[in-house]
Amino acid sequence: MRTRLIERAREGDDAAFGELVDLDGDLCYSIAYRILRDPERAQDAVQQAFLLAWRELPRLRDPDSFGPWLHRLLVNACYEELRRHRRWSTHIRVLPVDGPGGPDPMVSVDDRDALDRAFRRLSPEHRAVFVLHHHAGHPLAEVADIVGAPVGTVKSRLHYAT
Amino acid sequence: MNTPHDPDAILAAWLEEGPTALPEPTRRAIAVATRTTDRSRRPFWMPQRRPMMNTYARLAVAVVAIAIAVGGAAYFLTPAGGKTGGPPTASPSLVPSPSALPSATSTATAAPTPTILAQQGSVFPGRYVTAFQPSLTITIDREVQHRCAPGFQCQGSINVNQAAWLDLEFGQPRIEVFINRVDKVNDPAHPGSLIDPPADLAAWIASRPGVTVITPPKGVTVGGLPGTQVDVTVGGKDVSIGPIPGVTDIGSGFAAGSTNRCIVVKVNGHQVLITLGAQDPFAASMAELQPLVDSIVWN
Repeated sequence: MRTRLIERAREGDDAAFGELVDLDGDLCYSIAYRILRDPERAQDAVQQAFLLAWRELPRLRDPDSFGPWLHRLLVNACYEELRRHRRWSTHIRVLPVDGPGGPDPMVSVDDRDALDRAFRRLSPEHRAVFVLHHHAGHPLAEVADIVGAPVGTVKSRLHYAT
Repeated sequence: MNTPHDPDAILAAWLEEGPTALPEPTRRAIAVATRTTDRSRRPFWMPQRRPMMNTYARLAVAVVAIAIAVGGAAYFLTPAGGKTGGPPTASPSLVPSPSALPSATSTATAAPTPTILAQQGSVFPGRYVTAFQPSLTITIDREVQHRCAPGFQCQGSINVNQAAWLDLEFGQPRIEVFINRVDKVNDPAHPGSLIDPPADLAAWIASRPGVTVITPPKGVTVGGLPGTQVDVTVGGKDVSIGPIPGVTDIGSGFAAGSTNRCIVVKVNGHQVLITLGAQDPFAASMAELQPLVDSIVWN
C-alpha cells in the first residue's frame, strides 16, 4: 500500500504524495520540533523537506528507502534552519503546549530546565542523532545512513548527547 | 508525591513532550506547493506556512467581495458606466479555495502615516517606524509576495526589531534584510578584543579571512546618505564581524556558505551595516529586496 503510494507519487501523482504527507507528516514534524525546539521553524523544515522530496522523488530508486530518505531531507532542512537561526538568535522560542503533547508531570521543572539548557548546547548533528534514535526509534545503522556518518560516529555522538 | 529519579525515564519523558501533529496550515501549504511545482524546474517556490484565514479575515474578505460586487454592479448598471460592456468578472483570487485569501499582488500601498513595527511576528505591506537607532522608517511592499503561492495572502516575518538590530525575512526559501549598528568590531590582531570600526567598514569586511568579493565595492545612496555596497560570499566557516550593541549573546557576521550584499552607511556618526541575504538565486533576490532598501528613510 505504502510502496504503491510512493510509486504513484514518484510518477507525478500529487494526490498520492498528499497521502504520504498525511502518513509521515506528524512524525516528521515531531522529529523536526525535537531537533529545533521551535514549532515555527519545525514547520518550515518539514515544508522544505516535503517539497524537496516531491521534487527529487523521481530519482529515488527504491521505494522502500523512502522513510530514511525523507528523514535525511528533513534532518538537512533542520540543519539549515539551525544554521540560519544561529546567526540571529540563540533564544529558542519554546511555546507552551497543552494536551497530549504537554509537559509530562514525570519531569520536574528543574529537570526540564536542565535538559532544555543541555540540549541547546548540543550541536545540530548531536541533536539529530539523539532525536532520530531515542524519539523516532531508528536503529543506529539507519541513523548513520540518515545523517550520512559512520555508525561509530553516530555512537559517539549519541554517547556525548546522553 | 513520588518523584522519579531514573535519568533514562526522565529523559524519555522530556523527549516526548511537545507537539506531535503537523499543523493543518502546513499540510495545506505543502499540498498547494506540490500541485503547482514543476518537478523539472529549479528553483521551486513554496508558499508561506500560514494560509489560514481567521474569522476576522473571512469577514474582511466577505466585505471586500461584496463591496466589489456591489460597486461593480452599480458601475455597469448605471447609464454612464460599463460602456465597454459586460458585467465585472470575478477576480481569480476569489474563486473558492479551501483556505486562501485573495492574493494581495500589487494591491499594497504604503500607508500615509507610518505605523510602529512590532518587535516580532508577521508583517504586511505598509510603512513602518522601526525601533532601530538611528531612527529608521521602511516601506514593506511587494517583498511579501516573494515565493507566495497564488491565492494565498503572504506576509513577511519580523525576526528582530531592536535599537541596534532589525531583521526581516520574506518567503520560503527566504530573502532577508538584516540591519545592525556597528559600534565595535572584533580585533583581528587580538581575538576576544574589540576595536572601533574602521572608517571604511565595507573594505574591512571584504578583507576578512574567508570572505570573497564577488562584486567590488561601489558607491550607493541609502535614505539620501552615501554608502558603500559590496557583494561577498563566505567560505566554509562563519565570519564574525562584531557585537550588536545591546545584545550580549550573539554578534553579527556571515554564515558559512552564504552569499550576501553588504551596504555600509554612516548615519549620524554611526556605522550601519545593511546585509541582504537569500537562499534563492542571488541577483534576482537582491532585485526583490532593493525596493525595501530604497524605501529607507533616516529620521
